[in-house]
Amino acid sequence: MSKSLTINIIRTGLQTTIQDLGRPKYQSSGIPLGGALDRKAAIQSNYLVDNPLDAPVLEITLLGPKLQFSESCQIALSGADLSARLNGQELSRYATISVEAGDHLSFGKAQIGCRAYLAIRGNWAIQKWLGSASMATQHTENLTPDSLLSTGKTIQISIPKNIPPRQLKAQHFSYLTDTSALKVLPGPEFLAFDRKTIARFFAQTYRLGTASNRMGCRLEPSLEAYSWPRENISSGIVPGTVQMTNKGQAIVLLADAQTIGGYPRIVNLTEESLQRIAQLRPGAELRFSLIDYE
Amino acid sequence: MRILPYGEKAILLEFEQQISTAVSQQVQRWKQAILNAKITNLSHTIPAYASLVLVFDRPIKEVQITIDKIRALEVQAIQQGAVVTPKRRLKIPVCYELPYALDQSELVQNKQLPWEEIVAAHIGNIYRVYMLGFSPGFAFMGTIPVILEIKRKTSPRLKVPAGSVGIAGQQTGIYPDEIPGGWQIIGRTPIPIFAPLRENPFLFQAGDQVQFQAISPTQFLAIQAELEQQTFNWAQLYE
Repeated sequence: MSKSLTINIIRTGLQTTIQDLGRPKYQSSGIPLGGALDRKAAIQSNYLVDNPLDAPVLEITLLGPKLQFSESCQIALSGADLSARLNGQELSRYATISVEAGDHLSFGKAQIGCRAYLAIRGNWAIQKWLGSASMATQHTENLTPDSLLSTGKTIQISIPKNIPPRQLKAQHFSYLTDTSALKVLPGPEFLAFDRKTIARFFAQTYRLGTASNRMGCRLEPSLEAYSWPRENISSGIVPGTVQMTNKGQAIVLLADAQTIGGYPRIVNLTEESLQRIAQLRPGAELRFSLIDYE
Repeated sequence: MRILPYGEKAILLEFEQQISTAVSQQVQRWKQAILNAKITNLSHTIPAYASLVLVFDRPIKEVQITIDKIRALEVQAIQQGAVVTPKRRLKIPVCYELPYALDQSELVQNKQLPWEEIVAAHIGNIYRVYMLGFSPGFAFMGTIPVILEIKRKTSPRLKVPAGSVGIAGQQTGIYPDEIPGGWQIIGRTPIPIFAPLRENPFLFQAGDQVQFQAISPTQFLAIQAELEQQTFNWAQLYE
């Protein structure tokens, strides 16, 4: 027999949304993939509470929320270290945690990374759109009203029996502190760029621009004296595609990005690089290094 | 036609880079042949004017082997009878005046033509809807009259108002929602292009023919009011 848990959102935080692994099969209608930007961390948090790996989780960005639990349950945190506290006590990530009825979960300073993932063991009663609970980027209030959290909202979860606690060792999240260059593969238009531009692209140390969001990371600075001779015919975009705008700005497209684009695609991030970039804070430095397809 | 890896989880088929019915049909035929072949771990496809992206649900090992398998489907692709047939013709009201024609000065400067001629060229053409993409309900239409062809903006806008009608290269289209975009904005329509709670949320389908009609700012606001009051006669959009 399962009991019913209510999560009360006492404070929203900067951007707290419900995500799962997205809605992959609708891109030909122009609907973005969506879902957790750090998919590995989302999957790991669900594993730690024995939820289906594509179950909804909270994606918590930089400044975390304050939540209260109406019942005892099991939770797990993964991804960024945002100084999580349970009733004021420091809370471990990457382990199954038991929560008691009335407990408060809050967050403090972002220590490592940008996005934390909170899994709560149980079945989340969340309105889905096209099979996914991930927050829809447009018409959010109509399509996925439960998935953009705000103060006063609640989440209902039906709680099954507890599981023996689990843990993941540090090697499973060492990518969070990796500062090496992000590995990238040649993009479809890579060979059409001149050698000087390619050289400058890889020599440049970029910063994640403040206009970055779930649609894409705008990198600064732009390449100077950049020109692209032709007008591309719009073509499909996958997360991790790096476009070069006509002004020489590199944009790394993420899960909420448009499905079709016309700017040239210079490189594609590997899956590992995508996880790592999802954990970079605005202002963070990054470089790219080129690898080839097998 | 080239076939190349596209990130770790996708493969891109690229056809002759032009916006034409013939190439569009080629894309559809290859899409059908590939879906029929039931390639392992293929999740979904993203067709576009002159390309087809195959997205897999996990990283592709030894991608060249998969690419070779796809290329071997050429005979099946040619044999596919899939054809994009014209379906309906829609007339879309657009206000080409300020404050809706956001890139009026850039267009006039670039084309060295009076605004009236630019508008006349846009409305004097019947466009084909080639595909939906970029954003839910965004219909890519072509082909723009040659005198109107213009590059995307050097710096895309962070927010393009919903209903904005844009042109870029040989394409024209309507932004269904307020989203970032780099197309040159020639005007705006009050008609909602994507309404997800509507029975059919997408106003356009691939294969539709579209013609634009110039309206005044007063008419724009009148149509908006009718839409809000649910008195708008949708039948007037279709021929």
